[in-house]
Amino acid sequence: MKNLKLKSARAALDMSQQQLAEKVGVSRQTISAIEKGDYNPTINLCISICKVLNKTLDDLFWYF
Amino acid sequence: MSINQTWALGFTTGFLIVIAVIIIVKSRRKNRQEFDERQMIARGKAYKYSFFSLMAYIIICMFLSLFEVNWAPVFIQFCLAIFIGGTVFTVICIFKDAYMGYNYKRNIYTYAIGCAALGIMHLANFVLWTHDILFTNGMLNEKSLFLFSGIMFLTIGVSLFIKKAIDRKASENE
Repeated sequence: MKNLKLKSARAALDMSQQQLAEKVGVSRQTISAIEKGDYNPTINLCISICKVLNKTLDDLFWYF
Repeated sequence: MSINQTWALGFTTGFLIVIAVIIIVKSRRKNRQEFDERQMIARGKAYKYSFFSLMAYIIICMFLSLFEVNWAPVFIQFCLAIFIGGTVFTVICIFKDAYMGYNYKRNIYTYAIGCAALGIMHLANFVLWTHDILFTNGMLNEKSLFLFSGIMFLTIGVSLFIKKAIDRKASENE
């Protein structure tokens, strides 16, 4: 399932995948894979992404 | 000492020197490559497929030896095993974006050109040295290693070029 919430939160801060990847400490392809739904990140990575984007886990990674 | 033994000794010495240089360079490097969690998983999968391909190769060799088909000396069979395992691991890592760490800043094209050039050099050496004679007494000779190592390096170089092109297209579509 595509993670459009993450993509829109990133776009709202006018941040590229590369910039987010550098801040979080992962590769650009990893961010791309999370947004496409090809990779399910660990809770640690989810928290790091939320901190950088100023969002909660529910905002970005909760689907129900 | 026969020519074959001298050749094997030279090959082994060269191989050990390359490994020693790689270990020294890696230990002295300040900014080591780091892999994120997805890359670690991808590398794990690449190791798995590399291991399976090695197993498949060993099983084929085992059956050939069972039926007394002597197609290559043991030394070349082992070298081929290294080439197969290494190539499978590297190519899978490249296509899964797990070959270079996320903090790798250098130009990948330089690396790709280096690998491709090395491959072409080995293939050229094979053609010039062996004059396309792969077999001696019905068995692969040691000169054939240039063909296989050439194919390995060329495959890695071409894979890097293809992956870079795919990545560029993906970044444009982002």
